[in-house]
Amino acid sequence: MALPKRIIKETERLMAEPVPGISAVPHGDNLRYFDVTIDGPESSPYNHGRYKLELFLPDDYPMTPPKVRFMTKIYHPNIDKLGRICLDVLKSNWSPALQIRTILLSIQALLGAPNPDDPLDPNVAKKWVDDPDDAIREAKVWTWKFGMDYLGFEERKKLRSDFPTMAKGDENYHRAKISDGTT
Amino acid sequence: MSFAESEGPPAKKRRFFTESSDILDASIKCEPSLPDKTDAFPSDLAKETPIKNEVEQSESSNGTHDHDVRAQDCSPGGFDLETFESFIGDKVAPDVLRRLREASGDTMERAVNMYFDGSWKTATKPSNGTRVPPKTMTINSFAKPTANGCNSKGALKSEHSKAKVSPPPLRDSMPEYRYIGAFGVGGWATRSGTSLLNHGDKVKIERQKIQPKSTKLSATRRVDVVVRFTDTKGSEIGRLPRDTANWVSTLIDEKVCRFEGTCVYAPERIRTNDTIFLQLRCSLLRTAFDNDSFRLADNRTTGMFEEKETSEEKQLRLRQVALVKVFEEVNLLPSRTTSTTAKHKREGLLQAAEVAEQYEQSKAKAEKRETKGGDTSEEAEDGQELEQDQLDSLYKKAQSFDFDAPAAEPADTFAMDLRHYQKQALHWMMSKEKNEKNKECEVSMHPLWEEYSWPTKDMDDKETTKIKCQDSFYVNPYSGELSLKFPVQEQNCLGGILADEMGLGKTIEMMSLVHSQKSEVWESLDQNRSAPTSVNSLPRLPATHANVEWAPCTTLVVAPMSLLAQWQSEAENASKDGTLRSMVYYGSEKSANLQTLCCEINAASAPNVIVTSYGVLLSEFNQVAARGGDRATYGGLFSLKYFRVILDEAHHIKNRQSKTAKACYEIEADHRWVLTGTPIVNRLEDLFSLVRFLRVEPWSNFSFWRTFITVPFESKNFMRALDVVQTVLEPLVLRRTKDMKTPTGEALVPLPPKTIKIVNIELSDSEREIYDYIFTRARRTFQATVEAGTVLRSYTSIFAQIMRLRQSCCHPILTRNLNVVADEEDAAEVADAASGLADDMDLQSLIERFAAETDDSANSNAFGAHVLEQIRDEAENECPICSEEPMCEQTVTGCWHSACKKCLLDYIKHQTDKGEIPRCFSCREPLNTRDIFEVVRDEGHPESKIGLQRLGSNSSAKIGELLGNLKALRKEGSGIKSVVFSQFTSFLSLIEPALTRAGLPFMRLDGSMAQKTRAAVLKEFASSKKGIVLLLSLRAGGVGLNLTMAKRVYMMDPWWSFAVEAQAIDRVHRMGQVDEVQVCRFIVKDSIEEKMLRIQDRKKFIASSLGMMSDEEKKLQRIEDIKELLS
Repeated sequence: MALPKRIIKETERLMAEPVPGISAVPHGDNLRYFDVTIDGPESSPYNHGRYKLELFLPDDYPMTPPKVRFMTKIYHPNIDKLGRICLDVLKSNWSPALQIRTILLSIQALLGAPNPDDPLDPNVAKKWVDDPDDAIREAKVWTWKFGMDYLGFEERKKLRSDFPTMAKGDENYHRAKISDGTT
Repeated sequence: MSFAESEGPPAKKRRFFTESSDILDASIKCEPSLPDKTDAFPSDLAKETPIKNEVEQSESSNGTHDHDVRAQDCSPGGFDLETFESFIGDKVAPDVLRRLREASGDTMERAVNMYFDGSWKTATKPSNGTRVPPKTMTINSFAKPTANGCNSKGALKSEHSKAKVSPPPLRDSMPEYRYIGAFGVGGWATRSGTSLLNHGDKVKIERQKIQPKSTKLSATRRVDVVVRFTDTKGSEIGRLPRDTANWVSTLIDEKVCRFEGTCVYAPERIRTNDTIFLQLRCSLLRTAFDNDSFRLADNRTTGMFEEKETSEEKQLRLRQVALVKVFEEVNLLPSRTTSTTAKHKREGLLQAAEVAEQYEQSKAKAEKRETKGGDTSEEAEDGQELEQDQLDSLYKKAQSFDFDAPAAEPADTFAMDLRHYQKQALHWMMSKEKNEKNKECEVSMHPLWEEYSWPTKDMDDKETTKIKCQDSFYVNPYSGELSLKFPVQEQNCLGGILADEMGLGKTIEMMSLVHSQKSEVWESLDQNRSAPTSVNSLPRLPATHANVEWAPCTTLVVAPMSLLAQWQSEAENASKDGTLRSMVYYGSEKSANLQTLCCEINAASAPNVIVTSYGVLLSEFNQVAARGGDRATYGGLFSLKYFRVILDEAHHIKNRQSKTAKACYEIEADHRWVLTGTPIVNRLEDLFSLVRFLRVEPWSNFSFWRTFITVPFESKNFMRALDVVQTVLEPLVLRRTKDMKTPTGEALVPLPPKTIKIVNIELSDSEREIYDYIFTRARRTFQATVEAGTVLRSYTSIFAQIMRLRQSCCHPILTRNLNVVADEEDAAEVADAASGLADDMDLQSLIERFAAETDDSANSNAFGAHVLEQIRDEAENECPICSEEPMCEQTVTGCWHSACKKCLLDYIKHQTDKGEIPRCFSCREPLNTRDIFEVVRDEGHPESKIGLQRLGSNSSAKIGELLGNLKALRKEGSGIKSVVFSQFTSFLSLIEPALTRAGLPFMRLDGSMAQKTRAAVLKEFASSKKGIVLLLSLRAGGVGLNLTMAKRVYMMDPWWSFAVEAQAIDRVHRMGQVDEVQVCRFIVKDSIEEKMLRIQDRKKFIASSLGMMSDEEKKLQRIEDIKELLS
């Protein structure tokens, strides 16, 4: 199937005028498939993290929303451990007037403003409500652990002090460990 | 006991069976073989007799030249030496005699003359070809002195030599009657007595004296066929049996034959109803041959009143049957037939006649014949399976076009270039017009006639009367005509049928003929153009206008009204300036007095081509008829005898009974042509009308045609009928088809490619609702009628419902069309009454809803100028949905957000499909689907004017699709013209406003328009530089028009047979088209239209329209189709 004009145009624009903190590059063999990175917003526990996502434009795009998923592990009430995102514009509030660019901006905004009232991961959401500080600390730990591969050793070392260390008795320690082994 | 009234013998025992005697047995035995006479004369003996005579003669004259004499013994009489010697009063030496005979060609007269003047010594033997048949002198009671000295002298002379064995009589003109054969018959006695009749007694064969004249015969009364035989004194002895009398009576009444009887056996004591065996000598009367010319003349004069001929036709048929019978009885076989007639034989003829008569026995006889002659029955069986094939094979012969046929160059005055095949057509037409009897072809016998030799011996093996140069006579077993002259197959029609397929340039070919073959008058005008003509050489204006005037320079073209303008422009385009004057004789131009205009004296200024319509012709025909056939006084079309007449689209006259056809027959012209792509539309009679117009003898005689073609065809003897039709067509028709290839494999006419695309249309929900509703009801009605077994009766109402379905595919409003409503109102009422539901109300409300959704006048002014401005500013933006820039058919929502129309509708559909309330793509406001507006701007100045058009108003899915296509075309900006066909003119009326709103320029042509308007429309369409659209009704525009300036064709709705659509498409895709033609056929998905396509594929409807089926069969066939349509 020929690529619709809209996808071509969107891709061109993403290349020509990239959004700060966001990149989206189509695969050479499938122009509907994009490798996406989103930088965590500064004021969020995800600051300094750079998150990989995959984005796929289905055949009936833009009638149906793109399919987006986090590839990098992230501690967020609206993103589950498989990377799925709970965001209205990706679901019921999708409109064909939205674009890849706007969707990615929305996801970036979601990182800055988690919405535990409409959770995807209930445990994370509960933590976020019950003990916001601990939740944010946990999110930071995850950011350090999974979201900063793009940095060199020296750069990471400089930022180490900004991130809490994960205690051994921490309930998420094991989870993180196992995940660590997998990444 | 009186037999005056009864026609048959009373049923009773035949006493002679009980009193059988040897003599009786013998006579019974020999009775059936009487005609052969083998019992009376052993055949070998009979053969030897003349030879013996010769031998005797030779012996008497020295016996040395046996072989010579024998060699010349080609006629039984030979050269009578004794007569010769007695004439010259001297003995001649045998060698002298031999030379004399050689020199004189065995003619006594010449021999005598030569003997006396001595020229025989130097004379050479006459060539065989001119050799006069040997003649012998004889006593000839019929002989009348004639100018021919030979015979009178001979006759005189022979009277002196009565002692001679009476040689056969010789005459040089047809006697009052002439023997053709004899047959035996068992008559029955009507009186009793002793020794009334003895063996060898002559009997007279008579018809009843008081004969009611045949004109008084009504169909209901039994025809009197009683034939009596009387003794020499004239008192009645008995009658012929009924089955013999049937035809014998006709032959006597019609003065065809004379019968003389001889009693073969009669019982000594005759009682009433006894069988008397007779031998009847049958002779053809001279009057039978006289009839010939009378009949032909008769048919010509009555030509205009065909229907009134029935009694005459019947008479003719009886005569024909009787003739065939008598030849059968006397066992006279044709000595020569043409291949056509040989195939069909007499049985078929009788059969045909009997079918017409619908004799009760005919079935039994036919069966008997079929078992006898296997091939006839086989043919009949084959015939029933053929249908489309029949037409094909019919054309095949006419189509076997010889690519090496000579070509002719058109005259200098002709301004166009002809393709090679067109030059060949020109050559063919010129040769047809020239009336040159083709010398190379030997004169061939008329295919309908058979040649019979007069018998040389009678039943008693006596020589019969010989007549000079009349060894044979000719019979037309199909009409019962007799002739002494050789019936030549004449090509007396100076014209023909140009049946080239549509688009091969028939008009141009005809115009080239007009230029290239001119009358002598015109020719001389051309030559003398510069030189002043002397007054004396000018033709004089005749004193009276009473007669039909010759128009030597004028070709009359009769064409359908829509083609008049085209003919005129073709005539102009095809001629160099000033070489041809053309004139359209129509409407106001009719005031001209054609007779004055075109007559010979005005030849220099006469129009060379007059174009008129069938309608004008018909109205003038009525005028002439009202004046009792006075052609001349009003000076119209019928007051002239044209040099040439051309009927274009001649299938207009396919019905010979139609007044138009009759009007055409009455046109007088030297050369007659018909142009048609389909010489046979669906019945063989279609062709008859053309042949009648062309005046092709004898086919233009309907009883001929009937006996020979219609009757065999109707009795399912297809092969025979088609065979004959082929022989009719072959010399008359030139037909090439577009797909013909030259021997080198090139197409006859290379046309640019054409692509036909089927565009599937999705109905909108409201349209679908209406469609489904009508569909369900139609199916219910149909099923109800099927169950009730009244399908055939409610056929029309079902068909009306199907019509409604088809219309609802185009536009739901159409189904409320008054015409249609009238059609199906009854059906609806019946259905409603039956189901107890007034559910027509449902449909009404559905339609009202649809109308409300669409008709509600969305006044764009209400939205205020600023909104419009904003919208206009947005117009150049890209579509938020598809990123098209600018938007394609910008459409705004109720919340003033713009997108391409298609994108917006797709999105709304996408949401509703998911069961969601449609919302704006931009602001997520719920959308009211009614409040969607298309932005309309005037082409050319988008800034200045803008309007909003509520989407879907007065529109339908099909119109939408059409507009989409047309707008896309406009966007290309190439100025491509389009033609839109629909069979519903009311649908065209709905398309019009949609085009207006979209700012697409268009024109319309349909059957309701006057000729002038049509011509103007076509002219404007042709000359327009814009990408204009022509709306055409399938019926008005399907035939003849040339629309090659267009490159796109949109077929709004399918027709039952694709051929009709193809014909419409070929208006555009025909000769003259230089670009690729794209055709879109709009077909609604999941609807009756898709099913119609399937039926088109199966070509069922084509087959049923071929006339091979009866009306009832056709209906059944259609019901099958309806079943499929409503499945």
